[in-house]
Formats: sequence, structure tokens, C-alpha cells
Amino acid sequence: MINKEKDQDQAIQRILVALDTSPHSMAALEFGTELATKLNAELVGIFVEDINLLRVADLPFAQEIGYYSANLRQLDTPLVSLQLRTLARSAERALALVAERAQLRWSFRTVRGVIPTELLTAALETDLIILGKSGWSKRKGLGSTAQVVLVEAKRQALLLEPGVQLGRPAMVVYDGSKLGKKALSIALAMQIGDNPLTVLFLAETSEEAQIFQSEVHARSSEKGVRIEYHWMSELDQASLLNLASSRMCRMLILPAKTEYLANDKILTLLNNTDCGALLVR
Amino acid sequence: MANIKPLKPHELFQRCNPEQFSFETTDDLEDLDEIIGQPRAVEAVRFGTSIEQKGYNIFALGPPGSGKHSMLRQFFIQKAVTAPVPSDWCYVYNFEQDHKPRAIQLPPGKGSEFKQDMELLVEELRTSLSTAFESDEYRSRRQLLEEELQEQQEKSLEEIQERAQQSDLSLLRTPSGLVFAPVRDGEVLPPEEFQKLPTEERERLEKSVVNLQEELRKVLQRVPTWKRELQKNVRDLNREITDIAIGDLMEELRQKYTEFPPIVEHLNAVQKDVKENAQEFISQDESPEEDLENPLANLMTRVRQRPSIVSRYQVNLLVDHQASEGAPVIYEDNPTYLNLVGRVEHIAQMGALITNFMQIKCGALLQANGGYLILDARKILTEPYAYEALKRSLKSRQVRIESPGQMLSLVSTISLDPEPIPLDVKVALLGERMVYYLLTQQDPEFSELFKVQADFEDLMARSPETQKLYARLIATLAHKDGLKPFSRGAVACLIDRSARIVGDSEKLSAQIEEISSLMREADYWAGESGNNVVNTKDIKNAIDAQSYRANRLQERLRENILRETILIATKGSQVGQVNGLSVLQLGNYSFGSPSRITASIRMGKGEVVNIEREVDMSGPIHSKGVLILSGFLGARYASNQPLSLSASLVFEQSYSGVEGDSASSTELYALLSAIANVPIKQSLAVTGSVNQHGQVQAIGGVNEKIEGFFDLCKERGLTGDQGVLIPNSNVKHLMLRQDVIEAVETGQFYIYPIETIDQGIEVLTGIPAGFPDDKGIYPEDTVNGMVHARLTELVEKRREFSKETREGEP
Repeated sequence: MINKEKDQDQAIQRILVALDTSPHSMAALEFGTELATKLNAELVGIFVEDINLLRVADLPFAQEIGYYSANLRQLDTPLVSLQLRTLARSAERALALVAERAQLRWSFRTVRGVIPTELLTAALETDLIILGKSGWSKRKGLGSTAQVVLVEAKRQALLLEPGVQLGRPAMVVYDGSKLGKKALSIALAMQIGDNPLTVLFLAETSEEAQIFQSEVHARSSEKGVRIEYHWMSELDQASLLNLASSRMCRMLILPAKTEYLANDKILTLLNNTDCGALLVR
Repeated sequence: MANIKPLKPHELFQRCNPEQFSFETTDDLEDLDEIIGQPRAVEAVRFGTSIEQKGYNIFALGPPGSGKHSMLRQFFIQKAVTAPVPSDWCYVYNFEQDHKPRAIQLPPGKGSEFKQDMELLVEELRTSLSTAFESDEYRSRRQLLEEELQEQQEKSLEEIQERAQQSDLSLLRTPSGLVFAPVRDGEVLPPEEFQKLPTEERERLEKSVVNLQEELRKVLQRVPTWKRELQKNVRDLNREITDIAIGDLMEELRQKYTEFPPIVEHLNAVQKDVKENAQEFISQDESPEEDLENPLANLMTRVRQRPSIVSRYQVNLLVDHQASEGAPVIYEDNPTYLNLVGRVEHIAQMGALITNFMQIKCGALLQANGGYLILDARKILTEPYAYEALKRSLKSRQVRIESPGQMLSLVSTISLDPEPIPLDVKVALLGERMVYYLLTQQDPEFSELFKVQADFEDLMARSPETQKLYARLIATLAHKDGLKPFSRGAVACLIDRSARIVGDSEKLSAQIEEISSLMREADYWAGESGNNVVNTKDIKNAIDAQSYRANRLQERLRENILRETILIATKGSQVGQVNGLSVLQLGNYSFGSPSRITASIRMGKGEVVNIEREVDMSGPIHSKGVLILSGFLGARYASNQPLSLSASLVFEQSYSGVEGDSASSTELYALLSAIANVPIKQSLAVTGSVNQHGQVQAIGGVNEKIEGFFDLCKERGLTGDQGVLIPNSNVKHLMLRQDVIEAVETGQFYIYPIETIDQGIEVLTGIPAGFPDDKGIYPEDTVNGMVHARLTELVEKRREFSKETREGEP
């Protein structure tokens, strides 16, 4: 059993970080670096040159409106290409700086295409993809890319808000399923420092919850992580978010596509919270 | 000769009789609490200390070591003890003009309390504000404001996005802006596909893009306005929350200091500032977001943030009299401009010098404000700008802390201009007389600011009463310096030494430092000898050791005389040659030494040539003395006939110039000997000045001169006919060494008190000087007679010579 858990811990050996130099992606890079250091994993950075932008630039009437100046500027392909290359270089420099400082194995690549598609493709070669919940938009909730990744990713996906850090209070949802156990293992591996890990049992009966508690206790005592137990018989989003807020949790570790947590529920949940979320698959 | 009696041994030294003292050692004596021998200075200082009028500062003038500092300090402390403790002064931040810190006056001890209260206030503010700004109420209200803006923006953009979608367009974000693009199935239409669209469709899309762009521009143009509104609303919210959070704290402090309007005013300003900057105030401890790629920028950001808001609420307590009792008495031994006035220090940060009101440091003037300040005049005059700053402060009665660069308008960089602090201080300058007289003469402001001169005596009268007081002074000094007790014999010896220092048997030295040094050294020698009490022998050891340490040159000079490199005869007789005596001063040590003075004459027009003067080696007083000789010769011997001689006078083997008139009698003796062709006894040495009437007048350094000649004679072996001729008026100055007195007692050495040249020439030649008869003719067998005869002979010869010359002319 323990060996199996170790395998599950070690399952995350390559971490993909989607970089576009936005504050969310920089937060993702920071978190990814901490996690890679913790799990001794390789950090893989990716910058996607948005094919849609290049197409727009080729259109005869393409004009860009400055976000701050509100001025109209003629857009062309060389200009957009240059802008994207510049962003890619910035992203690579940021990755190199933090990864070398943390003495991590790292790599970086730039691909051109539709952003969610390219990220999902690249994610297949890694064990975890980390990206901001939204890109440049300051809007609360999930951005379009994050939504696609959340729904379609075949690997673990971590969707981050700026300010979420490793070692801060976190909450894991445990339903006794295989994915739930995997989520617990990852949560225990990620939890460092003195903060307790909040475990929310999704169990129909109190007896089942007791069983879950025994399982969790057995695993957590080995890791020396302090646990706070909570139980819900069925997932109530508002209660879950209130619990997370009261325990100061900024990170939710959720088994994806389970009986209790279908994609649409997760989408709704994440659109209504400023917590980051690790979706375990 | 028979008329001039040599001095008796008791006339050579006025000994202080230890038996007159009733104590055994100085431990039996109480400390002296009065100033002795300085009645004038005491009165002046008492007056200067008591008078409260402007400009009545004190200048204590007198030689170093005369007790100026001790006396002033004693007077000031006596006065200060009963004086009220002056105010505390502090500088606080000026919220209206940050380069002009405000000075606040507070009762003594209150400054420290105010400083602590402000420190506490800052801590409490931090807590209160943190609590307030972390409260759910504040967070939710602020979040609401921010989300309002966010939603406003998003809503506007979403509306545009929706309209775009209705027109088959999508709003995309580029790295630097937004762009509309035609889409199909969620992807942007490639250009070739777009070209394949019907013309109408393309035109519709393009038109829609133009319309949407215009709408989007309008939305984006309103964003800065929305943001400004948000900032204003957040500021208002911060003010409201801050007011609630700190209101009670500030009011409590205002109530406490309600009697001090400047503090209440300052607290109001603090409250206003906290309200304006509350967010910054609590975010001091939070790390700003840092740019990973630019550590220098991060550092600069931190540096810029360093002069924190909180530091503005600190109190720079410049003058703190919390622990003071009475008024301050300050002695500033290094009165530089900055030490005197105070300074604004700077801190180097990132290569730049920055400052703030907490860097203002107090100077001696402010430390002494409300009390007394003692300064050394010479030091303050040699420190650049210090004297000017002192005068300006005293004149304006306020201290303005500014750098010398600012004062001279040399520096125009931004610095602080602290509010001047009113000054009420009594200043005492200590200095030599020359400094005082120069300042009086050269600086018109000086006399306005230092109206009280306390003139310290160099010496004091010696009497049984003053000797007893002097004994108590010695006891006081011994107690003060922690020295061993002095026996009464040692005390008497010190009193004798004091008289010798001033070179007067009827006076005592008022220069306490020299006696004090001797006492410390005698204490050392007593310790070396294992004595618990300092006795006479220890004093003598100390004096001998002092002399030995200083007399290297004196010994070299005597050695040269003994080896006859310098020619000085101490026996035999010689025409036109006399042993003069001079005193050499080397630092604090002076000694006497004989010099050979010779004279030669020839027929001439009556002038006496001073060879030293011819080569510019004669000082003006010496030259004057020589000219007096001409006057004497003319008046005495040439009243009825021309003075037909020329004479030359010279200090033999003199290489460094001659000054003073103490050798004028000696020169006259040499001249008379040369004219009369009468030999002078070389066993005798002479000192004394002479006037035109032939009276011998007092000179200085008589003791050193006698001892100088005595030492030489003693080295060569006393012959029993050696001695020194001194002016009679110098007898009272005699405080000779014991070995000289012993030689006189045993008849091996003589000291002749001389009143006139006639007396002196008799002693020197053994021939009567001679008095003129009724017709003014001197007896032939007298010195004067021989001089007269020789001068008459020269007149005759000159007359004949003139006649021959006239007959020889065509």
C-alpha cells in the first residue's frame, strides 16, 4: 500500500507550466517551481503563439486598439510575430531565472497554434499542467483556456490564482475512490510547514466517513501532516467554499470527474472562488 | 669697593618656615573652597555670572594654568544648582514644509515622555489600522468598490463582445491591445477564407469591425476615469476607516498634552497625515511585488520606500533634561562649528546622501541652553567659522542648525532648515591676555558680546596669611588628584618653589598648574622611595628631575665654555672685557649663561657703535640700551668738550641675536674700562640696565643669571673672589638655589647689590670711581678721572689732527 502511494507521489515527474507573462502565468510559474522543487520534478515551460492573432494580422482591416491608450494602430503579421517572440523570450527568461535559482531541470519551448489545443497536446507528455485561472483578464472565474483544459485535460491540471503558495492551508476532497486516494497522496506530498491539511470527506454515512478517517489517518501520520477532518454527505458547493474560506484555504485538491465532482460542478465551483484548484485525474 | 657690601646669605632666599604651620601633613587640612590670590577675577566672575543682561558674557584672561577653568566651573556650578532646570527641546516633522522641521519646547522631562508617547502611538496606530484594514467590513467594502469597477469594465467589454459575436466577430487580446476578428467555429477566419467571402459579407464584417472599434475605444477611454473614481472612493473609504480606527487614540493624546498647543497642533497634523496615508502606513511591512528580472529595480523600490511614513511621527528629542538637576554647565573641549551649533547628519543610500529631521544632532550651545557654556578662546578661534557662529547665536539669541556650506551659501542641494531654537546661555571664553586684547581691538562685536573681563593674576602677594592659604590650596590639589599627603616641610618647599617660579621672594605663583604638576611628580618620587608622605626631599627630587629633563642645551653650552670653545674667563683681569649674563628660554625651562662683552675705542665723533645692531642682530630694546650709553658718556664726561671717540661694543660669540637692556650696565663697564684702560676683574659677572644718569635698574631672570655664572665657576673650581653684580632693586627677587647660598655662606661666592655705575666700576676694577670737585674735575687716580683724562686726550688729538688737516689743504 505504502509503495503504491509512493508511486503515486512520484507520478508527478514533469510539470508543464503555461506561460504568457500574465500575472496569473507568473503565479503559475512560481507555484510550479516550488512544487517541482518539492517533488524533484522537471519543469517544462511552454509559450503558445496564438495562431488566431497571426491570422487577424493578415486581414486587411486588422487594427489594434491600445488597451491603455485606446488608440487605433494598424496590425500586420511581422509586428504580431515580433510581439509574440518578445513575450516568448520574456517567459523563457523568467523560467530560466527561477529554475536555475532552484537548481531544477527545466526546458522551454514555443509552439504555434490554438492555445488550448497546444496546451492539451503538450500536457500529454507531462504529469501535471499548471496554468492561471484566467489570462490577462482580471475577471473573477475561469478564463476560456482554463475551462478547456479543465474539461479536456487527460492529466492533472492545476489552475492558479496569484498569491496561492505551497505550504499554505489547503483542502483536499476525499471520497474513498482511487482518484480520491491519489488526490490525498498528492495533497500530503504538497503540504509543507505547520499548516494543517483540511480533508473533506464525501461519504453517504457517518460509518463510511469513519472508515475514510481511518484511511486518511494512516496515510497522514506517516507523513507527519496535521489533519483537520470534515464530512459532507453530499457535495454542497456553498458549504465547501465556506469551509475553505473559514480554514483560510487557498488551494483545493479535487478528484476530477468523480461521482460527486463532474466537470460542470467543478466549473461552477471554480468560477465562484478565488482559490486555486488541483484537479487530480 | 669698600662701600659695596656683598649680600648676606639670608638675603638670597626668603624661606618659608615650616614651623609656622600647625599641621603635620596636608591630610590635616580642609579643602579650600575659595579662590585665592584672584580677588579681581573673582569679583568679575561673580558679577558676570549674576548679571542677566544681554552681552554680559565672560572672557577670562590670564596665562594657562592660572585656574580660570576651575574657578569658572566652580562659580557656574554653584549658580546652576539653584537655577531652574531648562526646557527640553525636540524636533518633529513639519507636514507642511518637510525641509523645515518644527522645534517644540517642553518642560524638563516632558520631552522624553512625549517621545515615548509618540512611539507608543505609532505601535498602536499600526495595530489599530491593521485591525481596521483587515476587518471584514473594510475588505468587503473595498472589494465591492474594486469589483464594481471590474464589473463595469467587464460588462462594457462583454456587451461589445456580444455585439461582435452577433456580427460573427470576436474580440481578441494582442500583447498590447485588443482586436476584432471574424470567426467561424470558434477560430479566426484565415485571410484566404475571408477573401472567398462574398463582397457584401466582407463589407458587412469590415463595417461592423469599424463600428465596434469605435465603441470599444469609447469604453477604453473611460477606463482611466473609472480608475480615478475607484482610487478616490478607496481613499475616502480609507479615511473613514482610519478616522474610526485612530480617533480615540489621537484624542487621548491630545487631552494629555492639551496644555501644550504646539503638540496639539502637531498631533492634529499627524492625524491628518495618517488619514491621508493610512494604506501606505500599514503596508510598510508588506513586501512589494518584485520584478524577478530586475533586482536593482527592486532594491531601488525598497530604498525609495525606506523613509517610511511611520518615521515621520517620531520625535527627535534634541535636548533632554529628564535627569538634570539645575541648569547645565557644559565645557566643550573641541568647539568645532558643528560641535558648537549642532549638525544635520546624512545617511548614504545607493550613493546618495539623504537626511531627515531625526538626523538633527544637538551642539554644545543647545546642551548648555538655559545654563553655562565654557569654551577655550584659542580653540574656537582656530576652528573655521566657529567663532562667527558663536557670535551670531549670541547676538540673535537663537541657535540655527545649518551646515557651514549652507551658512556660506556654498551648497545648494536640498537639506534641512530646522526651525531656530531660542538661546539663553552664559558663555565664558578662556584665553590668554593677548587673545583678549586682539579681539577687543580687531572685532567690534566682541566687546558687545563679552562685556565682562575676568583678568587673572599671574602671581599673588606672599605673606604669612597667604602662605597658610597656599598650604590649604596644596592640600586641596593633593586631595583632588588623589596624591599622598604632603608634609609641612614639603608644603613649605612648594611655597618656596612657587616664589622661585615667579622670580620674586615676595610673591607666589598663581599658576596652579605648574605647582600641581610638581606635586604629582613629587608624589611619584615619594612612591619610588617607598614613602607614604611626600616630604621635602621628594619635592627636590622632582625639581631636579624636571631640570635634568630640560637642561640638555644648558649643559652643552656650559661644556662649550669649559672646553673654551666659547671664551668666558672667570679669573684674571682684562681691559674692555666684562662677563655679561643672559637668560635663555627654551619652552618652559629657562637658564642663565655668561656672555663675553667687549669694547674698543678710537678717536672719532662721539658715536658708540653697536656691532650687533650693524648686522641686524640687535633687538630694539638692546639698541636703545646702547644709545643710552652715549647719553651717559656725553652727559658725564663731555659737557664742556666734544666727545671725540668712537667706540665699538660687541657680544662675543653671539650667533642668534641679542635682545633686552639687561646688559647695558655691562656694556658701559666695558666701555669705561676701555676708555680708562683699566682692567676689569673676570671673576665677576654683571647684569643690570642703566639709565642716562648712571643708575643701575632692575632686570628679569636674576636668579637664573646668578646660578648660570655660579655653575660655571663651580665647575672650574670656586676661587673665593668670584661673584655677580646685580641691580640693588633685584635683591627682593632673589630665590637662589641652596648650593649658591652655601657658597656665599662660606665666602666662596659673592653677590653685590649695585645702585650706580660708579659702585659697579669700583667693584669690577678695585679702583674708586671718583667724584668731581667743584670745578667738575675728577681725581686722576680714579676711574672717572682716567676716563675723563683719556677723553680729554682724544679731544686734543682730534683738535691737532683737524688743524693739521686744515693746514694741509690748498
